[in-house]
Parts: sequence; structure tokens; C-alpha cells
Amino acid sequence: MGNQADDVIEEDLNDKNLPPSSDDDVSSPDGGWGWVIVLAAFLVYAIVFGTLRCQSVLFVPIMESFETDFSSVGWVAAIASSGIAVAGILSAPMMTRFGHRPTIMAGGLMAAVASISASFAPNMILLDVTAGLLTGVGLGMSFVASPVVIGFYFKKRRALATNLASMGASVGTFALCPLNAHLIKEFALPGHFLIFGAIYLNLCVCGALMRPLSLENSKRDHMNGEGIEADSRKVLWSSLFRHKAFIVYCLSQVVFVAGFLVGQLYIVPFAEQELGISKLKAPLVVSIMAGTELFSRIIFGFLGDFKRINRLLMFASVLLLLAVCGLIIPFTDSFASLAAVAAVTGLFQGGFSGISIVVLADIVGMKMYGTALGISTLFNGIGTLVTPPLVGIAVDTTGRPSIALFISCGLLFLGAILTFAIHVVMKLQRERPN
Amino acid sequence: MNWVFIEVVLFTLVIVQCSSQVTATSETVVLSSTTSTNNPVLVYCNGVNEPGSNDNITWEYTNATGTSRMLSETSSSFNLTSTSDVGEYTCNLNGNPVHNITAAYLAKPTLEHTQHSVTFNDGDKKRKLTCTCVGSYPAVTFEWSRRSEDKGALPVTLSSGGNITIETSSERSVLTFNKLKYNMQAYYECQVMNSAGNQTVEVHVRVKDRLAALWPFLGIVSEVVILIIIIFTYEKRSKKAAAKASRGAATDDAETPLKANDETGTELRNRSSANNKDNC
Repeated sequence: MGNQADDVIEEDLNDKNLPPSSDDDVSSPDGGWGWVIVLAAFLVYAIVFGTLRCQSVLFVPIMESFETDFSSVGWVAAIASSGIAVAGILSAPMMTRFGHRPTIMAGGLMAAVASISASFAPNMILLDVTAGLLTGVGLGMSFVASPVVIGFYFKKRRALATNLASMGASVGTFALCPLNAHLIKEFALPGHFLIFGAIYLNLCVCGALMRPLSLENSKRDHMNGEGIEADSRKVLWSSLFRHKAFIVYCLSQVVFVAGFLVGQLYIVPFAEQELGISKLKAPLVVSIMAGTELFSRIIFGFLGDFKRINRLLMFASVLLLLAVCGLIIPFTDSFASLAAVAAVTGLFQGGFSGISIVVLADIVGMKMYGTALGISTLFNGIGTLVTPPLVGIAVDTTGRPSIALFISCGLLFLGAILTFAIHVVMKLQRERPN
Repeated sequence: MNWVFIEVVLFTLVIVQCSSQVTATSETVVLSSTTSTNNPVLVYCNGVNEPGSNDNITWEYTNATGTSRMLSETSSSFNLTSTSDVGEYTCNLNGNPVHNITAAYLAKPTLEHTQHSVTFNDGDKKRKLTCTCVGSYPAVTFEWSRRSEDKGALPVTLSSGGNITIETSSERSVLTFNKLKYNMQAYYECQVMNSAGNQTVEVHVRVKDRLAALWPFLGIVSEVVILIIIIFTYEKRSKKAAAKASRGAATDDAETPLKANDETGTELRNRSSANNKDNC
């Protein structure tokens, strides 16, 4: 029972109806096979986010094959993203019922079958269902379960392990976009979907690598009891929705992620239209951001595991700094200054996406981690679906992309403040438990 | 004498008439994609060598869409600095047109949505190649030709009919393959022409079997199957070893613990509730 500062928070905040956090029961190996898990999760992130972020490569071929316009092609991407959100809510009960490994493998299999059927889709509607919805749900199932497994395997180095795995998202984007384009060129659209079906099957390999932790210390294998399971699942759900800190976390994440996405979407149009940076040079800003982000994920991974650093406060400060960066961006006046701010923004982004997942584990404890992550993913998905069209209207009416950057900045500040509020709520809960 | 007088009068009349209705000369200047303020094209009013102080030079400009306006220029020459300056320029000396200049430009044609090659499947219907040439003046004419993949093959001009349809408007031409067949695999060339010259753009159209992707697909699937088999075999072995090492009791039912192990969540909860009981 070597208690560190964050463990105290975790235990105190668990709802009293539930047994104390399972963290102390399972001895997290913090290494060993855990690094294999990190590699597997890295690949899951690479495949899932590589697919999602590189979909624009498919737009033109889909348009030509099905003789439709851009707006209806955009639906495939939107539906795939909402599929991920649906998967968030779907994967939680699957994880409690069947375990993490089967959930990840089933997700991979589902995405694969969906993509293979997409290669035979005769019309847009079936393509939306197969390549959009079903592929999205499959990918989402693998994606939600992966950091949870890392959470079980790592305790002292959880931030580092999660951040290393989440680097797969950046690497996957760099790798899969050219692969997407190459497959389209070589095999046309149906062939592309067929081969990507096979690529999704690799999620099953990643899932297979994610051995249940109990294998590592198999002496505790013999406990089994189907009866308690259904009960505790109900308790799990109701206690999550009464968990004040978790609700504030969900709120802050929805707001912040929406603001973050809007900023990412409009920084290139802002550079092109208001700073007059050429079409070739403007996307460089995003690449600069992605580059420094990749590097700083490792740093924040280490920082997040320092015992003396309160992970939640570090996370909230990073969000606040990101909001400040977001405020500076609309006031830049040249490529050089924009690139500099983008580099700094990227530096702080490394402390955002991966750490947000680890912080959730700190807030709700490992027992509710999977379910909580699923619910949070669902909310974030809804937020990211609704916000960009709304901001798009604001930009269209004013004709100035910087409006979107200011809206994004407001959301970022709100999200950051709400994140600080989590800390306050947790403190209050600790002082006056129920 | 009378004759001579009449002759002289007639002659002067003819001269006066001619000088008042001088047929304007015309020329074509060609702008290029490098035309800019640093690399301008000079437009020079050929009929006026040294305008006197009383002479009044005006320029009329008709752009590519046919709208005319007077320019503010009053000198006999000026620079064209952008390819958007294409059109007809008329130099007027004291209100009379003396020189017409056509500023022509041929933009580089592009094939929409394709790079150097494009792949279609055998049996695909209505696949299109779209050749566009925007900003050229005078209007371009398009010509499609097909060059077989054999070395040294010559391009053959294509026209609508049979399996191919060509539809051309002012700035684009669309070549439609009504139904793709293997023998349509070739290099397709779009040539645009106007008085500024001609340019071509080429794409390698490849026609593949619908099942061409099947081999890489099967390759990856077998890789996945092999990896999964290796992973589970390795896991079973290390599990057996671990079980032997810890206690002999676990070895007699090798199947059940594995099933229970998969349900990590369940197991953890049970374990912790068991712990709870201990605490109570």
C-alpha cells in the first residue's frame, strides 16, 4: 500500500457505494509485458486515427464512382466520426461483460467486415452504412478499450505509457494518408476498401497482444462468480452519473475538444485568407504543430508521472496555456509569427490528448475507467459533430475565419476553467464525503 | 491641262481619303506564365513613331469576355504585367484606330483529380477524364489522343463514338469511357491549342481486374492469422509454465481459468468485493 498523492485522491473520490478502487488489488507491473501493450495500443491509435484523419483522400474517388457531390461525400466522414462516438457507449458494457481483449478484437473484426463489404457497395447509402457507420463503430470499440488496458498495466508510469501510445495517432496520420492515396491509385476505390479491411484485421492482432493482466499474476485466478456481476454493473452506471467530478470533467472536455477542433479546422483558412499566406505554405502551420506535439508528448508523459506534480492541475494549466496560445493566433500578422505560435501551441498539445485520458483514470478510478471513457467519448463525439457547422455559419456570415478562432479561444478558456473546477469539486468531495 | 488638273485633284482626294481611313495594322503578342512586373510584355502602337504634341493617343481594351473600356494610357507603349491582361488592344491616333494588338495566352492544361496515372476497374461504367484549361485567350480548342503503351507508338486522335464520348465546352473537355475494357489501358493525351501555341497533358490510364486487390488482401489476412496463432500459442505456453511454477492445482483445468481471465473487469470486481468482505 505505497500511497502517493494521486492515489489518495482516487480512493477518496470513489463513490462509497462501490468497493474501493481496484488499483490496489491488481499489482500493475509498470513495465514488462506492459510495453508490448503500449506498442499494441500505439498501432491501434495509428490505424484508428490514421483512417479518420485521412478520409479526405477518398472524397474525389467516391464522388466519381457514385456520381455525387462533395456535400454527400462529406457524410461518410461525419458518419464514421459519429460511429466512434456510438462505440464509446457500446464498448463500455462490452468491456465489463466480455473483457477488454475480446472488445478490441471484435472491434477490429467489425471494422474489417464493414470495410470489405464497402468494397462491394452499389450505392452511396450502403457506403455510408459500411464505410461510415459500421467501420466507425468497430474502430471506436478498439480505440476506447486500448488506453483502459494500459491503465491496468501501468500505475507509476501511466502518463508516459498512455502518451507514448497516443503518439500512434500522429504517426498513423503521417503513414496512412500516403498509403490511402497509393492504394486508390493502384487498385481504385473497391480495392482500397478491400485492402483496408485486411489492415483493420491487424487490430485483432493488437487486441490479442493485450493479455488480461491476471495472466501476469495467475495465482489469483480462481475467483469467479457470475451473480455479483450484473449488480455491480448497475451500481457502476448510476454511481458514475452521480460522480460530480466526472460530470464536470465531461463538460470541460466537450467544451475544450470542440474549441480545439474548431481552431484546428480554421487555422489554415485564417492563414490563407487573412494573412495572405500561399496555399502551399499555409498547411505547413499544421505540420509544425503536429511535429512539436509529437515531441512534447514524451516530455509530458514523463512530467505527468512525477509524484510531486499534481497531474490534474498540470493538465488544467496546459489547457489554460493552450487557450492563451489560441488567443494570440488571431493577432499574428506574418507566416513567421504564426509558425512560432503554432510551434508553441504544439508543444502544449502534447500535454492534452493523452493526459486527458490518464486524468480521467485519476478522477474515477480504474474500476469505472472504461465506462467513464466510453461516456466521455460519446459526449466529445456529439460536441465535435455539432460545433463545426455552427461555427461555419458564423464564418460564412462574416467572411472572416478569425471569428472562428475567437470562438475557439472562448471555448478553450471555458474548458480550461472547468478543468480547474474539477480540482475544486474533488477537494470539496474529499473534505465532506457525502 | 484640264486633264492634268483633274488628275491632281482626284489624286489629292484619294490621298486625303486614304490618310483619314488608314487600315489599322494588327499583331499578336504572347504572354507566358512568367509574365509579371519583373518580366513584362511590351505593347507598342506600331502606327505612331513619334507622336507630335497635338497628337492624341488613346487605347481601347476588350477583355476575354468581350467587354470594352478605354484605358488611361496616353503613351504609344506600355507593359502588360499579368496573364489576366489578355484580350484585344486597339491604339487610336486622334480617334482613329491605327493598330490592333491581340494579347494571347495559353494556360497549362490540367487533368482534374489525377496525377500521372489513374486506375479503373474492368467493366467500370462512365469513368471520366476532365481536361481543363482556364484563363487562355483566344479560346482554346481541345484534342484528345491515345498512345498505346508499346514503345515508340504514335498518338491516335480520338473522337466521340463507340465506347468513348467527348464533350467540350470553352474551358474544359470531358472524355468519358462508357464501359472500360482491358484494351483501353493506354496513355491518354489532352492537347489544347490557340494562337499562343499548343500544350499537352498526359495521363496513364490503367485498367485492372476487380480482383487485383485480392492478392494483397489475402497476404495481409494470412499475416494476421499467423500472428494471432503465434500470440495465443505463446500465451498458452507461458501460462502453463507459470501455472506449473506456482502450484500444481491450477494445471488440471486448463480451459476454465483462461475463460475467466478474459473477463478482466469481472474478475477485478469480484476480487475487490472479496477483498471487501475480508475487510469487513
